[in-house]
Amino acid sequence: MPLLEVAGLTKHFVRKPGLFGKTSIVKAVDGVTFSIDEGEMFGLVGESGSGKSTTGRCILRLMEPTAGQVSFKGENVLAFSRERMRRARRDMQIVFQDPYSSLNPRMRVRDIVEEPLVIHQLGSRDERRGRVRELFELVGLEPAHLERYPHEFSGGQRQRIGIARALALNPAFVIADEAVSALDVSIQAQVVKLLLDLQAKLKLTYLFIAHDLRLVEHICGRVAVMYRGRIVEMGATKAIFAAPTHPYTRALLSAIPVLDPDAPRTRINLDPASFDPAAVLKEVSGGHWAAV
Amino acid sequence: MTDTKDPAFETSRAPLLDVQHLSVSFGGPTPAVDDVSFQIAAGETLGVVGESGSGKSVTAFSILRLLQPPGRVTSGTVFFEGRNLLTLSEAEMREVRGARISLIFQEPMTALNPVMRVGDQIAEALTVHGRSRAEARARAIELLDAVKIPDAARRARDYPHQLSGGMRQRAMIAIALACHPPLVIADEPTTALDVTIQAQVLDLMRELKARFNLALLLITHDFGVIAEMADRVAVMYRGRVVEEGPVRQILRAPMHEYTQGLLAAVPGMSKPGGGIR
Repeated sequence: MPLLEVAGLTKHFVRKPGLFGKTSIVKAVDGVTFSIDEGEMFGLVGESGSGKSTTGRCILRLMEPTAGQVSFKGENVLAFSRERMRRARRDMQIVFQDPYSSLNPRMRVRDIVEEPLVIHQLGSRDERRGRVRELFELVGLEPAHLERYPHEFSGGQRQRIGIARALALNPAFVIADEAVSALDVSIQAQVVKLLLDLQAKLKLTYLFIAHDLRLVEHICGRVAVMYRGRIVEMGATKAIFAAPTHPYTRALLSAIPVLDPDAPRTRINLDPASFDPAAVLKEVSGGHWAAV
Repeated sequence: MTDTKDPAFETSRAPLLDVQHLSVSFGGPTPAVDDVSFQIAAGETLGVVGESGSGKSVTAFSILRLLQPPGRVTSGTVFFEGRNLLTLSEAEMREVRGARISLIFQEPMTALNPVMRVGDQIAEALTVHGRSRAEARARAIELLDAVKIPDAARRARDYPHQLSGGMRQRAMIAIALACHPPLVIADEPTTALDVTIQAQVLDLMRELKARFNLALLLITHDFGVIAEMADRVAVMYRGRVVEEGPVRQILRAPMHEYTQGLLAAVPGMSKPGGGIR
């Protein structure tokens, strides 16, 4: 059963060009539909400006979508009142890309991780402190470092702090928005392993937003490829990497550097005339969809 | 030098760049670069790979003597075309920078002058090194064409913000190539680019390298870029070169524990279909 269902999600920005010229509309997200089953690690990939992060933000209503539906555990998230949305966020959390700018530099990490519990008025002070300690251990940080400030931690450790904070309220669903993109590859591998361990331990469901296709290939069961605000291909990661169908997916996958110096390089350049940008997703084989 | 194909002569030829025992300190207890040695032959690509803080960019900046204080070279030699760059006067060094060794940065938006037309920036690289203005302007358009910027004559009049990220990086490559330098240092040249644009820029660099017989010192954290571009690889870790060798040897049979760990962490590198798990 899907935990999250997104249908026709749309976010348009109005661009005002100053004194001269016409106002234009940027269709950052343009009719995006997908669903994520409980316990799944669902990848959303695309290049910069494809709308993948905007999609994540609209799902959590950190940004109000222009149109569409988002249902979580069968409830219509977009119809929630402010108060109801606040409660819903206990169940839906996000980890951001940049562990340097997403943690308040003036707060001790103990307070950063505890803050969601305070906002939602959960537990007594002692209970909250106990929970923070537990979270620190859960993400592999030293509880002895609770009183430190973010700058005293490395990038990978900071990202663990961000994850601990996201998990404080025991959410069912976590959006990881380029959560490991800024990290060195060895640190990235450790944080990815942590995300996978937590998924198993806490039965988490992830929306994993990333531009690194090699990473997505190895950790996501299913993936959706975004291009200019639309999903152009979606399905089992294995099926898409083995047989990409949409011209954009083909071009994108062919651009990934081959890790073997002797492998033949077959770059496919995207010919915008080779597909209809308004085409809707069609099932090309079982569970594999493409907008062709 | 004659065009002999005698292999013994070829291998006895002095390398284009010969860095020996280079150490750089920023005043801290541990040096940023610690006894680093490597060589680059004419036309060769050496990939320097490492994680943040490994000293790879500091090494490149030391070669061009662009280190900012408190950073300073504490020991070593950097021989380039037979001269030790570390003992040249600042005036002599200016003749080397851009003309004999040029630099491509990661972020073209910060490396390009935002209030100067792209064509003028390329022309400046030429006039600084003695070409006439008219000659420089014509050559700038040729170079924009060589880096495959469409409609080069018109684009030469654009400002950097009018170009896409990929085009800005191409413009920077055009500036780097303006004086036909035998050596280009590229510091994470495609890291800020999307993967499809990265592929185009790498293909372009490979093509230009062959066409102009460039030697390339390619600094990157990405083994994919290394596999695509490098002839030889030096792996840096905590200021030291821990392993160096031909690209196939490093990627397929790394000897050093650190290289092995680093490669195992690259998704899809360890074993096909395996990866991180």
